[in-house]
Amino acid sequence: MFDNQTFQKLVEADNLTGEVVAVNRFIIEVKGLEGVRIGAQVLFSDGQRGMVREAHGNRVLLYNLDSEDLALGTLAVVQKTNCLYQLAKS
Amino acid sequence: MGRPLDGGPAITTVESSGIFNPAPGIMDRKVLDEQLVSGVPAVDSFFPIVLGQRIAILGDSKSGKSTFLNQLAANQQGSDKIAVYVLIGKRKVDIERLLSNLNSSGAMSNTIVVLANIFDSLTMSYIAPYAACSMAEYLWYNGQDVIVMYDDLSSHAEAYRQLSLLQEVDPGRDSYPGDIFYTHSSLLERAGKLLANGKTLTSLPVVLTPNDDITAYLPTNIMSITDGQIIFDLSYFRKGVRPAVNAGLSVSRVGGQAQNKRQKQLSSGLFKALARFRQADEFSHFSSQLSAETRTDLARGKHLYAALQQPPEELHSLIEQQLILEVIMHSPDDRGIDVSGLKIAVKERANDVKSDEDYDRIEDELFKQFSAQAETTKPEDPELNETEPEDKKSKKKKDK
Repeated sequence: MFDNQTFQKLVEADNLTGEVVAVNRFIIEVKGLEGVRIGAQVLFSDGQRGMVREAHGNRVLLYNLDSEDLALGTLAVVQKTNCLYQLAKS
Repeated sequence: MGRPLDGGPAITTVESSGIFNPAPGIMDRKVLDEQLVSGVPAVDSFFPIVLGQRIAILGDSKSGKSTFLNQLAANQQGSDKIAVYVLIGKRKVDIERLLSNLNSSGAMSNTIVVLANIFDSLTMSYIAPYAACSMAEYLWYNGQDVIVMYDDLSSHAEAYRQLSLLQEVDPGRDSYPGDIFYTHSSLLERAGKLLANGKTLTSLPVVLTPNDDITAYLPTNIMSITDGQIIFDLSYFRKGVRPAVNAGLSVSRVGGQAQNKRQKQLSSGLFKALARFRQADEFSHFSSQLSAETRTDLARGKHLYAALQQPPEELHSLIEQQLILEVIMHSPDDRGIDVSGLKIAVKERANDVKSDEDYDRIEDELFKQFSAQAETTKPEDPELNETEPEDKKSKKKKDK
């Protein structure tokens, strides 16, 4: 069980998952997420979000959307297949 | 991302939309034909912006680019057009200034401001213009005219350069990655006029040109993507020309499509008049005896520059601009014209114009009023009347 409810739900929904293996400021390298779409939005287990930039098999490069600080070993799960923003009700 | 920053309540969302959407194809588009009035005669009468156009705003920092965008946003009040203002890599003080300007001019009621300040992450700076464009697209596809102002794409390119260098992408010219052109073209091609609903999305990307060098990599890239550019020149700004638009280098490639015959005639006449003024001005440095024609060119140019001089809060409708400029252009000789008085009179009379006949009548009346005034004040205007007609001078010489 993860503390992050949203993350838990996404994992239970069988979305693609991976693990952070390298961090270079905003650039995150994740092992896993095989078959992910470029531009997909990813949620990390600490609540930060990422966007898929490059995918080479099970090595995926992401942009961290929130900060430069992300711990190695953090888990990642695909949240949306596109990088999206929410539209408000008029 | 998408959080309200104005202290308002949380936004209830019902739908979501992609940030990197593809642009509409050529078959879904319509020819642009309607002018977007900025309220600035130096732009509207020389380089008209058309709804759906992409027009780059270039200039060094503090040369009046943001002031122009503010004027453009303020001039959309009372219309159903929505302005989307994207601020990328700006300092908090600049953001505050912009917001207070938008609030004071009342433009905030139909403006969306998207912010990625210098303290936000590089990724936020990178995706801010795309997210703003998506918001604009939603409104566009749902039947509204939208104007997107990207202030500025130089900061966006720098953020993307940093991200790419971190990503170990091979650096190209000026260390930008090879796909920097695609980055901006994919953003700017998301503009135009839709065939389905006839609505438009107008893009105004701002690009910094350090030391007024418009031949640098980024400015030339953006100029080649857009349908024209308005160049703000810092040297003009320092000379006191406001707005400091460089008339020689600016161009609107689709501007003519939105102008009627009369506007086109005026526009070409203005360019010719300014060119003749520059020539006459240079000539006047060498010679004290000027022909009547040269004196007319000099006087007309000075009056035109005085008419184009404009404080940020002063905005003119198209009719007002045309009346002011045509009265000056129709002046047959070097008589002085009280331009500030003319501007005030035109503001009062412009609402009376209901038809072409009204327009011609009011123009004649204004011309008679201000040129008559000018004749009585002629001796008091030494700058414009310092040279005597040549025949009088030759008579004097003969007498001696």
